[in-house]
Amino acid sequence: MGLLDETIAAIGPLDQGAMDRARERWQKLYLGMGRLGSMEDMVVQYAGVTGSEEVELPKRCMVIASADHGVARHNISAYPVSTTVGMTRNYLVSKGAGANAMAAYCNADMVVVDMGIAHDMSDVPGLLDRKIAWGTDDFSEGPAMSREDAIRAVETGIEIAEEKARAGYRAFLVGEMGISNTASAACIIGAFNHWSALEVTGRGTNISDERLRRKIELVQQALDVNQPNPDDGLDVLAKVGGFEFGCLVGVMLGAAANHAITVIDGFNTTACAFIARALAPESVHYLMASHRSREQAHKKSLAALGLSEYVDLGFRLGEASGAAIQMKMLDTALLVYMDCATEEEIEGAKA
Amino acid sequence: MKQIEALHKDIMDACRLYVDNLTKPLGSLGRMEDMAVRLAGIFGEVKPSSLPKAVVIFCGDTAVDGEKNETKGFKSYNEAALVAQGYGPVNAAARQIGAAVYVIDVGLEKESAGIPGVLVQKAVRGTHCGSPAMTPEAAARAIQVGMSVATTLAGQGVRAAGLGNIGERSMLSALAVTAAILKDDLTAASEKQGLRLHLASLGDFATDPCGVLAQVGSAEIAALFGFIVQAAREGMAVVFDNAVTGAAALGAVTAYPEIRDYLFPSAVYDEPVHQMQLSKLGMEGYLHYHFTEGEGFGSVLGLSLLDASLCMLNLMATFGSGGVDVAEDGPGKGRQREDVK
Repeated sequence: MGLLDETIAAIGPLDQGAMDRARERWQKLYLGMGRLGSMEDMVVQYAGVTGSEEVELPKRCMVIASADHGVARHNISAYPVSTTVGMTRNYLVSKGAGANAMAAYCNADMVVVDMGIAHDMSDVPGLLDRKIAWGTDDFSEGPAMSREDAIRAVETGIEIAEEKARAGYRAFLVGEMGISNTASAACIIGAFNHWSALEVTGRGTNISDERLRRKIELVQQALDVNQPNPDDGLDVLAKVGGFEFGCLVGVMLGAAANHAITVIDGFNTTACAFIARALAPESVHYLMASHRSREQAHKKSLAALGLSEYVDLGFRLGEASGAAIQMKMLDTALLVYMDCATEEEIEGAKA
Repeated sequence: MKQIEALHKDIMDACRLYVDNLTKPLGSLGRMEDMAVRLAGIFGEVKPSSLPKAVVIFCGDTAVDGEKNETKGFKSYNEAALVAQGYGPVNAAARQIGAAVYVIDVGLEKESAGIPGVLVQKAVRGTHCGSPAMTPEAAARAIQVGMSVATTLAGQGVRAAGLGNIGERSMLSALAVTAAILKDDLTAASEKQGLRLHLASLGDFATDPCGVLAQVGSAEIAALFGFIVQAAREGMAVVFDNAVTGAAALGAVTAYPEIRDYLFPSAVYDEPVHQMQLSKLGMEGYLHYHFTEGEGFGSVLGLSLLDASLCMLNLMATFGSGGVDVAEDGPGKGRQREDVK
C-alpha cells in the first residue's frame, strides 16, 4: 500500500467522546449573559479533531504551494504568467506578500513549496523544491497531468503535513499561488457539482469582462474535453487540477490522518477540499471553513461541502489570507474555552 | 471643546494608492484595505504602525421598577463583578490582543462600590420603566462620564476603543432609542401598510440627544454615546458591537454625521434591531459567529481585524520593492506601478 492509501485508511471519524466533553464544558462555563454561537462549535470540532477536550493553542503552519498552469497561456488572469515566479520569490526573499503579513497576524510558521513552477527556482532561499514539472499541460486541450503525477502531488502534501505533525503542529492553513488557478478550481468544482462553467467561473484576480468571457469558454471546454469523473478524486485532479492543488489536498489528508485541523481559505482551497472528500469522505470533518471569498461560486461550494464560512471581508486573494483571520478567531474561541471559569469555580467572585 | 475633524482626505488618498500597490491583486483584501485607509485618515498618517487598544464597558440597568425585574440587578451586578475581575469571555479575548478592559458603572441598580476594578460613576440607579427613563440631568451626567473616559484614554495614548455593555433589559432601551432615531422611517413604513405608528411624542435625537436619551434611553447607552462623541473629537477609532452599543453608535452619527468615519462595526447579530442600525448606518458587520448578547466580545474581535489591517499595511511589499509584475488587465492596470514605493 502506498502513502496515499495508507493515509486515507488512517483517517477515521472525529472523536465523539472528546466533542461531547467539550460541549459539556461549554455548558458549564460562565459566559456572561450570552452564548458564543459558532465559536463554541469551533472548539468542539477542534476537540474532535485532536481527540481531546483538553485543548491548547495549536502550533500552526501555513503551507503555500506554488505551480504554473498550462492553461495560463490563454491570458485569463489580470497578471502575467511570470507572477507565479515573482510572488513565490516575494514569499521568501522580500517576505512581503499578503501571506507573510497574515501569517504574522496569526503567528503561523510558513512553508512555501514549488510544486511545478515553470521556471528555475533554485536560487530562492528556503523554497521547498518538489517540482513535478514546469507547469501542467493546458487542460483545455487534454489532461493537466498524468494520474501518477497527481498521486505524487498529493503524497508530497501528505509528507509535508506528516513532518509538521510529528513536530507538534496541530493546525494547517492552506494557500496557493499559480496564475490562472481559479480556472482550474472552477473546473474542479464544476465537475464535482455538475455546475456549468458560467455558474462556477469568477473574476479571479479581478479580470476584465473580456478575459472573463474567455475564461468561461476555456473552463467549459476543459470540462467537455476531459469529462472528469466526480467519483474519482484523482481523475478530477489529473484532468483539470494543478500540482499545487494536489499538494494541498495531501496536506488536508495528512493533517486529518494525524489529528490536526486544516483551515481552508477561498475558492481554490475549497476546490481542493472537494478532491480530499472524494478520496477520503471523513476528511471533510477535519476541515474548517474560514471566509467567504468574492468568487461568485464560493458560498454555494462551501455549502455543498457541508461547511459554512464565518468571516466576510470581501477577500479575493488566496494565499491563506482568510484562513489566517479564522485561525486568529479560533485562537480566541480556544482561549475563552481555556481561560474562562465554570459557574461553579466563580461562585466566590460573585456577590 | 475640540471639533470633530473631517478625516485627512489627502492622507487617505496616499494610503489608498500605497495599499493598491502592495503585492496583491487590486482590492483583493477587500474591506480590510478600507479599514487601513480609514485608520490612516483618522490618525493623519499614511502608514500608522501602532494601535494601542482598550475595551470600554459601560454598565446600567433598564426599567428597574417594572414588573419584569425579577433579578433585582443581581444578574448585571455579577456580570460586572466577573468582567471587572477578568473572568469574562471579553477578558480572555482582550488579553489576546493586549487591550485593557475598563468596566464603568453609570447606572446599575445595585451598589457596585464593593467590586474591585469597577469605576463607579453612577448617574442613576437603573432607569425607570416608562417615559421618561431618567431625568435630563442624569442623562447629561452619564454622557459626561462617557466623554471623560474617552478623554482619559486618549491621554493615555489609546488609538482604538472597543465598546461593550452590561445591563439587564438593555435591549429594551436599545430598541427604544433606535425607534426614536428612526421614527420618521418607521412611521413612513407603517403608513405604507395603511397603519399609523405613534412615535411623534419622541423627541428629535439629532437636535436633542440628551433629551431623547432621558426620555427612552438608559444610562449605559448615554455613556456610550458620550464616549463615542468624545473619542471622535480625540481622533480615536471606535469599534461597536451589538444592538446596545449600536444604538449609541447610531445616535452619535445622527447627532454628528461626521462621526461615521470613526466607527467600525464588528460582529453580525441575528437581532433585528442590530440589523436596522447597521442598515441605517450603511455598514455591514464582518464576523458571522451567531453570538447572542455579549459584553463587548465582538468589539474585541473587531479590534483584532484593525490589527490585521495594519499587518497588511506595514508588512507587505509593493510591486516595485518586491519585484513582482503589476496588473496587465482589469482595474489594477495602470493603477499598479513599479514606481510606487
